[in-house]
Amino acid sequence: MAPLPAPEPSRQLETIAALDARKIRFELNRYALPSGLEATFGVIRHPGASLAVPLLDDGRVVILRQYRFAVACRLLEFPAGTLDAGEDPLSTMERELQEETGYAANRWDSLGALLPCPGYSDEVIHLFLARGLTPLEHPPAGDDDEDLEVLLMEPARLDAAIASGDEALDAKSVTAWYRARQLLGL
Amino acid sequence: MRPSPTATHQPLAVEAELADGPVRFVRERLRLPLGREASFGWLRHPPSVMVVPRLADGRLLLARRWRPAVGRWVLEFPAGPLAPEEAPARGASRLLRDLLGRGDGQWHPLGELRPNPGYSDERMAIGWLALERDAALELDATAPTAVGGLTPAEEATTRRWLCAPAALDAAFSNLAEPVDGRSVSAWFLARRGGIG
Repeated sequence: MAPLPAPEPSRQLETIAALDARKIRFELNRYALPSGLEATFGVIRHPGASLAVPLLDDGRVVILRQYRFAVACRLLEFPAGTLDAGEDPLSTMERELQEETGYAANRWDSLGALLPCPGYSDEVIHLFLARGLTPLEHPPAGDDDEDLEVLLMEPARLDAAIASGDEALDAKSVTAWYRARQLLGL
Repeated sequence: MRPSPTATHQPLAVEAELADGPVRFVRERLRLPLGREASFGWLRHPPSVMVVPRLADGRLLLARRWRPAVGRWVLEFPAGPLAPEEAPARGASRLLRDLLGRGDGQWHPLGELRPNPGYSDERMAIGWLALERDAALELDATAPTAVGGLTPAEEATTRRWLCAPAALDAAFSNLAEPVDGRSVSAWFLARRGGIG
């Protein structure tokens, strides 16, 4: 494997313009790049997020069919949520798993982290495998703008859905599934 | 009551927007299928393409990109916005010519990703491309690309990276380094889609 280039941090020189929205902020920033060249990049500032691949004892995964206004369709996605200020990623995920799926987990493994769009967003998504699932009698209420349906799926069916070419694929869920399959030896 | 599977949101009013080249960040008031109205920030992004390029000897071509947004070098397959009316296969060849000086080869479509469905409308076509055999194709992975297709800013932030499939699996399995979700997904699709 070729060695990584030496770390040569770019330096942010100024923010030319910015626009705030719910949970995120868009900035047009001027940077001095490692070579000394200056360039402008649009960057979304995001508080970060967590995602879990929830696995039932019988081997099925818990996954959501969720409406996403930005792409105007219902995507197959693992449960996930934005970090609240000061919240650690596992606490976020424990809360979101209960709200979105109605299950609680007692075994958590890290699957690392992913960058959904490093070209224009600073968001980091922390990935987990959630096992030892039990259904909650009284699941907590989720956000009132979440429009989702909970599905239980055999791993082979999820693999087939991803490979079919018929699904609009959520990249963070495909990546988390790649990592989960490696950890589980599937 | 759950809305019908085909119900979509209604745009109500654009409150503010900021443009960055072909990309626009918009704060917009929407009515969601469940009836709730709220203001959301999202990115309007042109359709894009990501290509998994395979050389004749089986190695894969990626790039380390310096990404100011996250302040690190990120291992990525070549990707970029499509020009208006440009087909993904043609866009993929253009990206490879910019990075490598050549981009001809058979395109194998693998599907379409939504890289960031929470706040971007980007649709990214994914495919792998078998680069045609070329005896002169000797690449120094750490050298500047020096083929003239990249802008000066891209040139300063891009290093080519060649590896065997097993080495790529190892790199994408390293839990200590945040991975590019688009590239790992593209690789998963390529593995499932018969790249070998």
